[in-house]
Amino acid sequence: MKGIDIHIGEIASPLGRVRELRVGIGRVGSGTWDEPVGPTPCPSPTALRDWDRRLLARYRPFYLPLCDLCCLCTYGKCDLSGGKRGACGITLAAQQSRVALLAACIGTATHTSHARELVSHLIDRYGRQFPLDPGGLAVDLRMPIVELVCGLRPETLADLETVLEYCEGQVVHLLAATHTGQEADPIDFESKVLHAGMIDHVALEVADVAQVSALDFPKADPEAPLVDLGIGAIDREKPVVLVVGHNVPPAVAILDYLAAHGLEGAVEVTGICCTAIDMTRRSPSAKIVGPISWQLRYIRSGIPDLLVVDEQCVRADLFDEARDAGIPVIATSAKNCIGLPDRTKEPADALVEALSTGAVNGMLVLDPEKVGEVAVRAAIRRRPLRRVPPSLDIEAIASACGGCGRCIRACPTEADLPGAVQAAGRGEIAALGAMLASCVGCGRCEEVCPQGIEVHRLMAAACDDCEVYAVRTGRGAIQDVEIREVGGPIVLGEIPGVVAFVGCANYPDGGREVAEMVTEFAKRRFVVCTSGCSAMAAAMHRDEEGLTPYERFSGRFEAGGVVNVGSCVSNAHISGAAVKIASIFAKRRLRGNYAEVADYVYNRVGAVGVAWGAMSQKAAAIAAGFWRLGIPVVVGPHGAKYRRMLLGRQDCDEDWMVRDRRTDEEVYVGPVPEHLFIAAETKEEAMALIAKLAMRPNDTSRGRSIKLSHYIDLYRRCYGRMPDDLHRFVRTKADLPVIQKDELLPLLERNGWSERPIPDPTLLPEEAYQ
Amino acid sequence: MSRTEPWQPAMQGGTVTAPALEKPGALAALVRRARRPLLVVGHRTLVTGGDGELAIDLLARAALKAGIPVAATGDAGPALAVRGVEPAICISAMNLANRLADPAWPGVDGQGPHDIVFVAGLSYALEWTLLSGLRHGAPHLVTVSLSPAYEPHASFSLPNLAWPAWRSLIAGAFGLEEAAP
Ligand code: SF4
Ligand code: SF4
Repeated sequence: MKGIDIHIGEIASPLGRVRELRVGIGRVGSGTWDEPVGPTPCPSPTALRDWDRRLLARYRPFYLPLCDLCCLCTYGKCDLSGGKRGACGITLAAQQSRVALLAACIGTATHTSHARELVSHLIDRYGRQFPLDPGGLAVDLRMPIVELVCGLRPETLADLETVLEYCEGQVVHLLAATHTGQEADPIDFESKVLHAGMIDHVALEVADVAQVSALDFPKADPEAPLVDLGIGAIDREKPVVLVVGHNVPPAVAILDYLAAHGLEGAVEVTGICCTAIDMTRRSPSAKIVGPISWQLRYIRSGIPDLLVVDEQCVRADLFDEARDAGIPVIATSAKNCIGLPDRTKEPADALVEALSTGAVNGMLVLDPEKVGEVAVRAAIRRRPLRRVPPSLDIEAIASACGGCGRCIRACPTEADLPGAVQAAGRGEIAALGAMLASCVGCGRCEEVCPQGIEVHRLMAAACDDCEVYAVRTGRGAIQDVEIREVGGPIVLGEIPGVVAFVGCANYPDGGREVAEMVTEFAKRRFVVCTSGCSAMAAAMHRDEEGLTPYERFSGRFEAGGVVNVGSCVSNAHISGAAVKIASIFAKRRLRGNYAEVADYVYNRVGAVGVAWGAMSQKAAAIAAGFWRLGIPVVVGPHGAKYRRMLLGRQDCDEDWMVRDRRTDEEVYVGPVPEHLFIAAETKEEAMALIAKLAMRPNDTSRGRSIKLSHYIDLYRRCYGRMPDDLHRFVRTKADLPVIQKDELLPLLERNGWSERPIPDPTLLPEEAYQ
Repeated sequence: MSRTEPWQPAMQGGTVTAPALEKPGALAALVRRARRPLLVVGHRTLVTGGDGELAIDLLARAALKAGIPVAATGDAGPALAVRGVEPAICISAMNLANRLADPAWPGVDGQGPHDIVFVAGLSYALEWTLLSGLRHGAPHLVTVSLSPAYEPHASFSLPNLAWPAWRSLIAGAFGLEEAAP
């Protein structure tokens, strides 16, 4: 009975008018609500090209080639420097955008595949008709991104398959555009990067709504529980399972097996990276060890009795490290098999026996439920055999250091490792231990040391970090009522902005900086969101009273709230909140109406993304999804390696003209937001940028004055003087912070400032509005 | 360890790499040649140093001596000001580079495009990418890395240098009084 697919344009029923109903055998993907479909339901890679080009005309790519060469086909290698074209005719600029598109495709494919595996698994377990419910009664607008992009309103797990088919198709088209002899224009590549980002957020939303609904995670709950983070939270007397990765079903199966067998509390279930956050959403008794950068140090501690890896951001050498530490491994993802034999079909008893006795170092098991049982039973049996690593003679090992400096030249944080190692060699180990706080755990220092000194291992041994921090587990979506309460103040500018700290842990100077920024902006009464490794970093910092930001600030989406939405896939709730503001507060139609809603968000919702430690291709895709909605993203210095920035030119007035919808005239709005994608050099610089990028053309005078006061304050803190561009952001005298008016007016007048109107701004032509 | 391999060896550039300025005289010649120079000073000049002196101390004096306007990036601005150098502009490095890539940009003082840009003290990856951006996007500019870490994408770069050698080279090139003989 496959292949039956009925499409009904419109039908009247006792339940109301139903449009665009699509019924197929094996699937029901539909829009069953009475809202006209906008101009771009399920847009193709070119459907929003005009919107992209409007954005990219303002935020032109500034290229930072990581490599002058192209080696993607056998014509090459081609040297593209100095204006030379490759054998295929491509320019260096186009090549950078092409690689940016490849990265975005990898990221989007990864999230889409993650979502697909989750949805398939959950359908197997809970059935096709299992209802989607990301927020109970508090969330009526369940999947704002899917409604906006696809024009669909999924109601069941099976409906999500239709959405994923669309995502998968788009990723294939986008990837095809990177083939030799396809796109050549850099801006067309960049437009496709934005398309990939938009698709990425669809896939993120699918993944998180599916798992929140079926796995009973907190549902848009501002009071999601506080859970423990840190190695110190682990009861080492118990058997310990470690799960690393992003796709949570094996970890959930472990927790469920424990619950079903009365073993809760008998085994410690610990996690690194996003799986860690997601398993605490399932059970607050699970423990978050730390972010992605903690893999080596925790495995080497010898604490875990068994390692389960799923997918994404898992170190490629983790199996080797685990083997060296005597920890057996279960690989659980078809995308991360680690060369291990597939033993999925064998009975659980045999697998437990093989892992417990040390007969094998690891195995591939592609059935989450089986993993749940095997991991628990094997960990319990392994516990008495745990090999506590011998304590290191730090001084003796470090004394071999010849001070060659190779380690510092390999270290992404540029830490003075030789100085610290040599001091340790003299018995002063404190400095070396302290460096662990800013170490990203890459292990490169160890790879290059001619003396064979394992610098990272030594550093971990010199640091007894057994702190336990409280982090609020991922709450999921933002409630409709929260949006109703803050939508107005955000759009008017009275809440100075929404700042989202997202992404990986490749920090220039440790996660402490993320925590400090989170605290700073929460104190300034921005709405602060966190997710993924940044959500963990934010927890690892205490105020004077010993409280982490999650204990100090509320978890509500409100001024001064610190809102952990969850794992990487939960980022869709941050973009989703911006979209919900357009829908719930401003009554814009969402359904297949991307450009109009993006234009609204861009001009009115003062949101800024911060990926201080962005590292992965997934982070690139997530950022691109924010860009297409007109939400700027600030990255740390390593983010420059994404090969290009998207920068505005505040000094070019002609770039900042918009159409005033009230008068239909072209008017100057000032450089707000000034950039779409920029790497900052230091935390202080990032904070001044964040405050500036939160300004929007639509801010009321009261809102603009609040935003300006934060910008001036943070700018002065960084640069020690008044901003030199204030005249570009002040439209009328009423925009000026009241207590600074007398000080600021002369500055403005020196720059030839005069008052100008506050328009009803749009980047779109008139006909684009429904 | 070569003085002219990228300071982070994995950060290889392209087919053309910067000639290294091994002697103070070579750098001094570039300083003399510049008609519209700019010195970009980043935050790492506040952590690089030795014997109680910081890189920013020397660079501030160099800027004053040579009369080169300074762009402060990161949070180097206040530290420059207390050393008697009021930055011509405080700006994020990427934002500045994007303007420098525009041949019509009238410079930090509005007096006309810069011809030589000296850069020091960004984090290595940021300086590396910024210089790559200028190399490809601003062929009208000469870029000179003054950081003690060799930057292959600059038009000219200092080699990898330990503090005493770097100090001596900068002091010699700018004619600061403690210049090594
Ligand atoms: S493991 Fe840590 S100390 Fe070693 S190179 Fe990486 S970041 Fe630097
Ligand atoms: S690479 Fe090894 S020997 Fe060289 S400075 Fe670093 S720790 Fe010392």
